[in-house]
Amino acid sequence: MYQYDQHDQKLVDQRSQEFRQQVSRRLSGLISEDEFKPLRLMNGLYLQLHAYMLRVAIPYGVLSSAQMRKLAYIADRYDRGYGHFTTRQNIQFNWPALVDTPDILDELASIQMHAIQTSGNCIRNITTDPFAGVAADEEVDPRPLAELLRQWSTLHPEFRYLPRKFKFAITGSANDRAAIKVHDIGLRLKSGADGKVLVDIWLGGGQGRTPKIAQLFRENVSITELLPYLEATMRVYNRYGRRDNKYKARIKILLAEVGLAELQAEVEEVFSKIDKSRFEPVEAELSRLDSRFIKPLYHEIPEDENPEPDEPANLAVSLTGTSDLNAPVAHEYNRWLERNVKQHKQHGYAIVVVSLKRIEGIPGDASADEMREFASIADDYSHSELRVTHRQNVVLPHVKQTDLASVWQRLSDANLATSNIDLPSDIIACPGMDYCALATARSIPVAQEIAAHIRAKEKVTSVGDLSVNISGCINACAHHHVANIGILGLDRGGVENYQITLGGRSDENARIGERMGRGLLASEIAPAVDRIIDVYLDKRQLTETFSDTYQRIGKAAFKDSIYGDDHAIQTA
Amino acid sequence: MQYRLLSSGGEVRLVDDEWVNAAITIALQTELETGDNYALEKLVSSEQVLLIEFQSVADGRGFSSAAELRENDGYKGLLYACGRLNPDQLTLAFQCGFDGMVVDEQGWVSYGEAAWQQALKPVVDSGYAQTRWNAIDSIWMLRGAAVR
Amino acid sequence: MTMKNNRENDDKRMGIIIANDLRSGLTVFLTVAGEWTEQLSEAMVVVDEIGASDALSIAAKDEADNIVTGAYLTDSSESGEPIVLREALRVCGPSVDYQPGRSYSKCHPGLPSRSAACQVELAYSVSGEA
Repeated sequence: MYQYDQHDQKLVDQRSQEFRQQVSRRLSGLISEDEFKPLRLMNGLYLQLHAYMLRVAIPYGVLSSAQMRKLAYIADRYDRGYGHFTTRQNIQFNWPALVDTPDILDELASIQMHAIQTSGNCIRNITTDPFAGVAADEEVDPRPLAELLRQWSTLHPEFRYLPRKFKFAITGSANDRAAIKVHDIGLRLKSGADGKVLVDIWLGGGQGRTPKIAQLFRENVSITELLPYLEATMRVYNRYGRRDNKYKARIKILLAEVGLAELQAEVEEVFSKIDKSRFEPVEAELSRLDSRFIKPLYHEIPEDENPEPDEPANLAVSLTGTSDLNAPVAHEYNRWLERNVKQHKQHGYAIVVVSLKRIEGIPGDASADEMREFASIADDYSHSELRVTHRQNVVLPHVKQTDLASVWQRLSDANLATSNIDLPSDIIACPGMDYCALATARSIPVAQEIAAHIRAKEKVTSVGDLSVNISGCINACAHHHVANIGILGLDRGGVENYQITLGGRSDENARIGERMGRGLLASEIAPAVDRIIDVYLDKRQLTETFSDTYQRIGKAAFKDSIYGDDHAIQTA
Repeated sequence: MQYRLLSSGGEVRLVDDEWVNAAITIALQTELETGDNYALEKLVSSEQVLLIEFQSVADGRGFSSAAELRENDGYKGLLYACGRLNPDQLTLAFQCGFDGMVVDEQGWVSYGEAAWQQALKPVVDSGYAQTRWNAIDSIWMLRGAAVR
Repeated sequence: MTMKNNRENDDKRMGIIIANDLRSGLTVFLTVAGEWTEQLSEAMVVVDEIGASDALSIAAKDEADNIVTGAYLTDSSESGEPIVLREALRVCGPSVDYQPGRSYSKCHPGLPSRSAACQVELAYSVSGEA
């Protein structure tokens, strides 16, 4: 993974020093809250419902075990012993004191991390495929470009006061695991005919109040033209994006208002005038970055050998002394292999996804002890590397097939072996009104209730991949618009009220879900989700996905299941 | 009314209304359809000082406008930022091609002289990957030089 | 500074002043003595418009003096429990057990114990099984 050099280190050190001065000016009363607020936000420090919240960037979701350990240390020393992984591949600490935040930034700087541009109207953390560099289906490893974009966008002087925040996501695989079509700019890296990397730029996607799927803005951009082209795009947005209404300030609205052709023409004109020589060291830099993302030293396994993970039966023997495949432990291990282990590009290796969606737990939360256990397992079995996913889970990216049983055992002992990746109980949930000052309803307790309600069903029936996302306000941090089953919590006369959308998806065929009807009370949501899943199980053909079934049969049957006579709903 | 003219190199100079009125203030367009209207051909060769006005601290259009005026339109004369800007934005202004900032009495007093003086000697002294008219090398250039 | 006022024009209604402590960021309440406390049980309950306006001016001064930030008045019961769900969550929440089996006072010894006001939270409990 990427290692800072002196220049990267100097920047985070200076930023931390600068913030220490700003905090000190605030505490001594030299600057008011109004003046301080934009300064703290530029360092990821919010004031939430109960306390300050610090959002730390995990660039493109990659963490070393040393970094994970430091996050655990920060959680213990400066917070309440836990952190929350977000849909933007960041981690949030919910209880830091203002007086401690300069020390926290110093701690982060010491392990090449920071909170720069995790808030404010600027280019935010660049996100990507959590399986970058290891996915079996990958065409181009997006990490070097993601790091290049991180450097380009960090402290970019033109783009610190944009009309609104700006989010980039990158994928180098046809199977989009980074939701690039619901970002302001999504980049799809492809391998061109001559082996050179080409980039498709998707623009104007987003969620929130006005959900939009991105449009293909420019195809087959070469790597040398990419940065000037993105800079031209950002310039046009900076100058013409709406500033009169923050709900209309994202680039998706500019695109909708002026139209694709006109916006393309304007960007082309600005692009044609940009001095490309200003970006010239970029190719050298990109190849330097390429060399920094070297493959771990995998144990080379001959192609004719097919190492398999330990058979569940063998594991059952070693754990229980019986070879009974139906032994609970064998069954659990088998389900985990099926759900949480993904195909690796290196022969003999696997990708392990660790679910942060324990049924009683808080989606995306990990305790300091768990973070340390992730670090330790990564040291023992995954070349000291970890990833965090936009679905709020943690990845061990380089696990030998033959180590899978040991990894499962370690995770299982730490209560981290929940085998529900991409199942309905693998719910994305924002912090909601339990933490967030913007929220209009709670998300976490509703997610917990749904998970508890459907867990038994997803274990015995083969529901398969089905996404359930719940946001506690219209800002849609939990991506409810693009969930198969999306839930949006609103405030209706002081009572939490939840709207359901169905049929959304966030992959390469991204689609915005359709709203069903009037909202439900919190207590009605879990049974409704259960009935929606029943309709799907009843109507699906063969291996049809939820969204395919939904497209084929339409909303009526699903809507009936939510509001039908048997389930008369009292509205608030 | 008097203004402070803050320039790179740390200079703070007092100027008056007459100086400001003699400069040309560029109005920023808000609608894409109306296109650019800087009357550039006149301005680029002009001997006069140009000002770009920032309407609020959150409105960063002027940073891109300045960069484009320098980079795309080849303007070589004096260019200052004015209006509602805060001390932390001074470094950005230099990086985007401004020669400095015109600060009115209200802005000078409300942030205080100390904050403005500190802004002329910023803690974060690099543009990181960016290099602009403040002549500080970008990290990419520094790395390239180290390799050579 | 903005003074949010959740109350309608009805001087029979009662309220408390909530803010964030500038240094710790934690939720605090104005007391009768004009100080700030993390204990809801010590919060001053204002009962009329005059009381509210006096309390808000103390809060405004303390904001200007950089002791607290974001102070506002919110409706409460006679004993000071907030009426609005968001405020109840703010005072008693999070309503979820974020560190099962671990007392958070271990990390922050200064934290208030969960007061009787947290019964409010149960009334809003989502599951209905509480």
